[in-house]
Amino acid sequence: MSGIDERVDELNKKFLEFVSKPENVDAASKEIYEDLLDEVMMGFVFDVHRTVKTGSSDVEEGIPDDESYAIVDLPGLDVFGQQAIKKSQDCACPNCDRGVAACRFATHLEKCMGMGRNSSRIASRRIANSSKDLSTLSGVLSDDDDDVDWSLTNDKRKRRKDRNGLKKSKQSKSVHRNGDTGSAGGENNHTSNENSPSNYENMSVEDKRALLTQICGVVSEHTKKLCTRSMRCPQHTDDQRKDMRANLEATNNGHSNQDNLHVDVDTYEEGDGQNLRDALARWDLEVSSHSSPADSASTTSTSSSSRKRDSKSKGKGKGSKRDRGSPISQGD
Amino acid sequence: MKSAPHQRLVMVGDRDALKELLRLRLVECGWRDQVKIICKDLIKENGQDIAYDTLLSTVTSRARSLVPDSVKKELLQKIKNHLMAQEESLKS
Amino acid sequence: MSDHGCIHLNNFKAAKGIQPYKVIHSYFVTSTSTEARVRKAVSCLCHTCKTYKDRLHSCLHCIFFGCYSKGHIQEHAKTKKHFLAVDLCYGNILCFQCGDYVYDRELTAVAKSQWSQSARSLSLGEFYRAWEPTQVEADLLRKNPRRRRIVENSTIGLRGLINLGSTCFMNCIVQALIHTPLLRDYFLADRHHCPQPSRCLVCEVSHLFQEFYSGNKAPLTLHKLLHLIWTHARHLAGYEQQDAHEFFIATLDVLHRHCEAAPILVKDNPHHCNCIIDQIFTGGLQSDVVCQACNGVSTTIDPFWDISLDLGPTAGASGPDSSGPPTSLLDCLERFTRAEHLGSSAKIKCSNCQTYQESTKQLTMKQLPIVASFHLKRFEHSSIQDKKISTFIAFPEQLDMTPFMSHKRNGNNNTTIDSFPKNGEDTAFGDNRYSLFAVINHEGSLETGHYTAFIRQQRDQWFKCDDHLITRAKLKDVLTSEGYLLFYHKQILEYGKNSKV
Repeated sequence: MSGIDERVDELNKKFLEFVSKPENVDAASKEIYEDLLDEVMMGFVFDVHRTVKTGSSDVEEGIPDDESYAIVDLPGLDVFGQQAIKKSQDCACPNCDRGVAACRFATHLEKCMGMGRNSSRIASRRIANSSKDLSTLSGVLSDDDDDVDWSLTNDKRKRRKDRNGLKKSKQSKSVHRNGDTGSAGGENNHTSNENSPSNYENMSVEDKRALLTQICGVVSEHTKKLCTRSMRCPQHTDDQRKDMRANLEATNNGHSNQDNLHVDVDTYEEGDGQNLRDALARWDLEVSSHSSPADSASTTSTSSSSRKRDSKSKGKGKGSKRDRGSPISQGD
Repeated sequence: MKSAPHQRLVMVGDRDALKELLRLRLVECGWRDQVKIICKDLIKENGQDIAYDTLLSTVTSRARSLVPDSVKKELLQKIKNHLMAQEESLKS
Repeated sequence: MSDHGCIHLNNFKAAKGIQPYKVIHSYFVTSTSTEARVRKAVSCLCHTCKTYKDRLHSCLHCIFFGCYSKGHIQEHAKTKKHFLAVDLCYGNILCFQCGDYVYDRELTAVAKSQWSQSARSLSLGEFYRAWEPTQVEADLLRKNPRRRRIVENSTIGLRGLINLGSTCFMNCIVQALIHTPLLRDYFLADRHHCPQPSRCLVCEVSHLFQEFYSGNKAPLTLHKLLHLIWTHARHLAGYEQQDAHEFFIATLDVLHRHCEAAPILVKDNPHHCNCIIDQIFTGGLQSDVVCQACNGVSTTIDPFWDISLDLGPTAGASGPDSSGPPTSLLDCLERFTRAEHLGSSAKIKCSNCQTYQESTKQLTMKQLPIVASFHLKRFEHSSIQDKKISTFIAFPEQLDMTPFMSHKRNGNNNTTIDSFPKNGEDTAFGDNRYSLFAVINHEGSLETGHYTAFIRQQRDQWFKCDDHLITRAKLKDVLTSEGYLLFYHKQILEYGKNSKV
């Protein structure tokens, strides 16, 4: 090895001598650059040469497509050379398999999946009517019927968006509607099914408890109503949900402060029952300190803090982190 | 003595890294694609039996001048910095 | 046309095996150790003229180095009848009898693995290698010779999306995702293997990519996608207009949940996995809280998918440091990563000195995602009135995130002028440059508005996506648009151990 070591020392000496002069450094930099460029270029050419010699380039080449996909750049036309007018199209609803006009698909799907503002009312109506045996309204309500409601509520819907954003306005709307005798149908929600959320006030404690294993249940300050989203509802925190249930137990015998509760059944889900019961059970056992990227939409606001670090998040929770900006985009 | 700077950079591994940087920049700015096109055109003219040397000499004459100035500047600066850094580390 | 070398090389291999090549390659081509590098530096010179350049080659038969440009290796070959040589730049084999370089699969494999080793020993990740098909892929390609090439000015990759009733928010997000280069590559390379195709959102997205790249010019309807999202993200469901940003986050969340579950990388955090969504979109946000009393720093790192930026005037601003409301993305990022003094009403218990103290808090980027998404908070709510902030915020085409990174911000510049990355730090030669590839805009007021998107195809072609209407756009149009969601893609990707791809 000493042979090598000697040569290394010699090299280092020569190097120091060389770089002591700044003009040498510049000249050397230039030369080294040129060498590197030569070598990189050689490498690129080798890549091509190799793929040609090994046949990969042929394999890659294949038979070109004969159709032209050239972009069209003419006024009044889109890039495909088509006119800029909307043609009507149909699609098959994945939920019910019916054919639906594409431009009304979202509306349809909402009702179809039982999520719309009207869905609960329609469902309640259905239940109420089937038990009263009114032939005209039994079975599936036609889409047209719903559309009438739709346009009415659209007009009324002047975004009363409060701090908790988009969903709340949905709930507030039903306040209008329920008290509004002018709406189509005019059925009264409250005569519906005994243990449904709309009848919360009159339910027994056991039933309330049962209900609260299925829905978020937090009372909105603004609308005084229970949130009927799932237990994973991002708008409210686990603490709030716990409080709510604790409240129920505490005022079990006494007079509850739930007199003014008005329940919106928009988002009540049947299916989540077991999962949600499990979730509730787990709360007492673990405090999750993990943040998910879906939780932490970063914000400059220092008053909001992630769930992980500050457990006293005072009802802001995820809601404050996620921008509740909900610009309305009306369709066409 | 003239080969000393080159040799020193090889020894400490900097040369490989600098070469990789240059390569990345030349891919990023599309120069490599230009080289590929020149090659492919040549192959179309002369057939697939073409020798490496032919490809290289054609590319050298046509593509070398197409390297963007910004790439050259960046590399020159980095090379110089590394030479100086080596000087420092040897002196200490 | 083969990768089986030539008869001359095969004869040599039969006689001497692959060892001579291996040794030459490991010492003089790649240098996988310090010792090898020293040896290379000192002895890689032409035996005839002592040059280190001019396409130096090593004889494969004996110990001789000769340069090519001046003919010294050729001389050696002729005189000694040693007709095989190895180029010392890349390890390719020159056969003098064939008169050209020849390629041998076995030796190529040897070379590849040594390059990997070398890159690792330099902490460079992996040397970049252009893609070449494997045997299986080559067979597939041969059996299916028709090719669809995306050439300049091609509509492939573009398709309109029908509005399903106020679903322009969804259309825009889909356009942005479809035009996310890495995501596109993942799906077109068919990387998603699904245990449950019928209800899988990732599968549906995969179909969408196929549709977008099919060359079909008719607009698509995203009815299946909408149904899947509403099924898996209940809180979003409902006809009412959604916020595009909220939809974006929810979509990533559902995709992430549906992606093949890979082993959990970050201990104790079940939300950080290795799926394609995490690989592309997840970054790490570092929060440093400094106790004013003892200067103890409490650091946490949270994952993020996007950065939401305030647009209003700085709260409680005073003094020379504060300025008016931000007018550019850089302003916003500056403000976002600025150290903030948390007032006396927000004292935090310091774990170091065990008292409640005032503190400063600073957010910086610890780890940048490959796709950086920015959300300009243009929509404000109050109990009185909701409003939209429409001020113009300038955003650049190219964005350098270096000033906002943790190591830069915290002032610990432990990097020398341009030291090479160690231990897989997210800076390949300190490169944190991003380029804009999608912009989602909201036009109109809060009540009656409409979302449109600008997306970039190929290197510099921009298009406006207005539901089913796709038209060409100029970069100027993009940069002067209002901007609500901005999507940037990292320019330089790393490969290998610390890389994501």
